[in-house]
Amino acid sequence: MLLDVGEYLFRIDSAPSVVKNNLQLMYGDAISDCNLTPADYTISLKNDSLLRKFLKPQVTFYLGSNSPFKPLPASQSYPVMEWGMNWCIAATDFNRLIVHAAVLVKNNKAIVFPATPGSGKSTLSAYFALSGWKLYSDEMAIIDLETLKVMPLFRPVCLKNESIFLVKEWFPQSIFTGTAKDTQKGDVAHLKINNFAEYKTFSPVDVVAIVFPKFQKNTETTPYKISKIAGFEKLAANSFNYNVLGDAGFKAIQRLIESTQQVEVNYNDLSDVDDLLTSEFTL
Amino acid sequence: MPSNKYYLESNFITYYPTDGYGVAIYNIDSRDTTFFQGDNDKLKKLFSLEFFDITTFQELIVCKPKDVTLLINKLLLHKIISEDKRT
Repeated sequence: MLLDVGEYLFRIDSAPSVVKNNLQLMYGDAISDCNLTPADYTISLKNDSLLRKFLKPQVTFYLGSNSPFKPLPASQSYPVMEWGMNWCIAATDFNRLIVHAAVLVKNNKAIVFPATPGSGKSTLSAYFALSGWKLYSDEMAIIDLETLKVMPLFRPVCLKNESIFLVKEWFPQSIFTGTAKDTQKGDVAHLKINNFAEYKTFSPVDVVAIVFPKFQKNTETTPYKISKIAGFEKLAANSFNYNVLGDAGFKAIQRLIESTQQVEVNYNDLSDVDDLLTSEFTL
Repeated sequence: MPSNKYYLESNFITYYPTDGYGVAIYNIDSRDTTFFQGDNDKLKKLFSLEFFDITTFQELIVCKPKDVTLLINKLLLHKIISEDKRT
């Protein structure tokens, strides 16, 4: 099974049927049976232990023959596969700047939302993506070191806990995997946003702003412009590979900070954030 | 002995943002980035000093001697200055 997520090709050697079914649900036409195309990553999800097949079953994620994680309960198989794919990209791509962030695009202008604690990044991603924005990523911004354009990734949104109920309530027609209970991140479900044909129309775009959202109950949506040095520090702290990239990473963030605006937004209502960003950045 | 200015230029990359506030200093050898807050014109003057001393620090960055010591310690920690360039 070959999975095309846009910038990367994953060959899935083996996986439980529940994972294969969820992959089909989330990725659809991005999956093929081609065995000749070379993949960037060959991954699998296996139940290693005979005993564990019957007693509290567990699965282990593999990249090639290496397993970077401890086995996890089989009930979490699909999130483990998605997290494993995230890890493959974050741990091995040193040709682009990779920031732990959501990326949403409107009128060919990208806004990067770094995953600072309490940001509500995935809820925001789901809301915006189902309200007319293009989702380039829920998990990582892939930024070209030369052009500084951000690349689209074809991945679902990973929602947690109350966000799952909220998004189902806001968008009753949305397509979800089943919910994996009691994972290390709480209850987790994945949400399909685009089909592969829509995704194929996305192209690399310029970043116009880096927005640090902060969800606060009972607050009005309030933007604060932050200093460029504070923006630099936060962006570098959220990058997976800044330290590995060395001076290329430093220079890329420097140029990115100079060519964009950096804003903090305290919010309670996502539609207000949508309105604010649309008017602030003339999207 | 090379001046601090020379040392900084040859071992670090500095970024003074155009909004006039703060500096990021990247250490090419250790790959650490250190951030300083404050008016970046004053920070530029500070980092162009041949040697560091508390009086000049206080003239450029108005702060208490205790804070100057903390800043010098931070500079030393990140090897932005070395012991022999501290007076």
